[in-house]
Amino acid sequence: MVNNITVEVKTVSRVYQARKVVNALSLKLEQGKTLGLLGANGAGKTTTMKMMAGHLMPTAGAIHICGIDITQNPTEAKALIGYLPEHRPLYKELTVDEYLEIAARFHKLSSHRIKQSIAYVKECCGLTDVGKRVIEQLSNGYQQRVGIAQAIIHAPMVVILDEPTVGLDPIQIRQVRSLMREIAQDASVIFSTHLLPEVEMICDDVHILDQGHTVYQADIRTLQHHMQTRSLVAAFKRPTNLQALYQLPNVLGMHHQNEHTVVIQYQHASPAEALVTMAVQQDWGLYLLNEQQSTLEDVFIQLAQPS
Amino acid sequence: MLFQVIRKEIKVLFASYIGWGILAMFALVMGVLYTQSLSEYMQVMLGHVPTVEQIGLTKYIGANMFSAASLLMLMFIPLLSMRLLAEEQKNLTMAFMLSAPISLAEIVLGKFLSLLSFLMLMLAYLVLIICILNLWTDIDFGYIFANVLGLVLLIASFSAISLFISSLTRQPILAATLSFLVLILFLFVDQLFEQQTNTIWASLSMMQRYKSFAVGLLNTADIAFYVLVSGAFIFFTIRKLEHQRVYG
Repeated sequence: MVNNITVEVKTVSRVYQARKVVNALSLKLEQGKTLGLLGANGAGKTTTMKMMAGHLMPTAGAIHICGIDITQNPTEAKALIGYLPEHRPLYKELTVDEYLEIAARFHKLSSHRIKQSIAYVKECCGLTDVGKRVIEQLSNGYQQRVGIAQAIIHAPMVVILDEPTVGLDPIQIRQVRSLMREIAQDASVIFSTHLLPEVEMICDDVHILDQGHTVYQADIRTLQHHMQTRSLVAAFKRPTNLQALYQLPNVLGMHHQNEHTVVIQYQHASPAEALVTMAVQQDWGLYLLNEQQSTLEDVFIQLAQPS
Repeated sequence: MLFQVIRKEIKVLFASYIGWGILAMFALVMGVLYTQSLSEYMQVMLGHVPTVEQIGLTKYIGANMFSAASLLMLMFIPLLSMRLLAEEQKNLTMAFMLSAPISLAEIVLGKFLSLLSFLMLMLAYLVLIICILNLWTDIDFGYIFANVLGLVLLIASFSAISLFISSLTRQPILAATLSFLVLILFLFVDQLFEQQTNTIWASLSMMQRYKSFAVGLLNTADIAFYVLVSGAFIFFTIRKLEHQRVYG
């Protein structure tokens, strides 16, 4: 391993039925860092991850896992990777213990280590009480944990998780996110999502894809800087004076969403308090005030605009 | 790693009803045929039923049971092999094995050998109930050996062909139906072209090849034929998965 780089993707492209699904993608990930692959559906996230996991061959370019070329030496490289695809590859007729044992044996763990590793990942993923249960009988959240457990059973250097929180309820999402943070303490983690807040919570680095192209690549702080422009949605019962609203601090611009509702863009600190004071003084009948979260779409628009 | 793949496949097979169901069905059919053949043989021996030629017990029972077993395999193998690749691809569980440090050749060979091991269980049961007769009479072990070898080679070819067909589609039922039809074609291809004098169809027919084993003959050309067919289709399956990795 050179310079602690665990994953190095060098101008990788993938053509599928004459269509470039991934186009000249490059990225690097250091040991112990978490990378969020962000993009709308069809952006090429899953294909990129499948190539990193060695399931698909790149049409052009190279992928190195801890210095090992995954195309040239797939078995050696795969030994260093833990992968959970979007659709969990679970044999639902087996019990959790049986399934994890097979996963451990596939990764060539010794009989002595198998027991230890199963106990460890079960504890990590909160599966200790369900080891003897058939996977089919487990809830969606538990099945996802089993999927993550099989990916980390051999203590891989790189863990690749494809949309690990999709289809889970809010409590399960929180549990999976905290599990990902724990995994990231020892391994490099790459995960895909189309949820911007998830990236803000977990990632060190961000890579945004759109139609197979890299549209943005930076660390999370730089992304947060790009996202500083936020919006307030305010609704009034009586007509308002837009010119007066421009007097509010940090306001960049505004537009009417409908007759009563105004969307106010601001930078840095929120002008919500000043807005409430003004609305009371002017008697506009303010009945709704909502902070709007930046969406992936907003970030795309932001990034497309020259600063 | 090959052993680990076989182990996993056998474990998954026995965790579902299909493995147990097929074993039970085989034991039932063979059991009924065994007792029926035995009682028929007794009738012949006691002179109640006239026969054209004198025939030994091993041959009388063995002929019935081995040919019935080969026909049962014709049904069971497509059902078992459809799970190995088509169902894995449909359920997207194939990613589990593809993520592990196992080569595609090991995955395919492991799946093939696991299917063969399961079928060997049935074959072992068949041989056991025939050999049990040795307690009361002399059994022609040479005849049994030739038949078992023939059946092993036949089911190995069946398994390799079915495994390849299973790799072609993500629809398990389609894979099983196609396998069944292709296996029938391979078995009886000579009868389709009976009018033609060309011997190539006869040499391609698995049933023609099996017939020499069934009468107790070991022909190296027949052995080589089955080995080559099995090897070729295992190779095609590996190539199909590699193709999927590159272009799929």
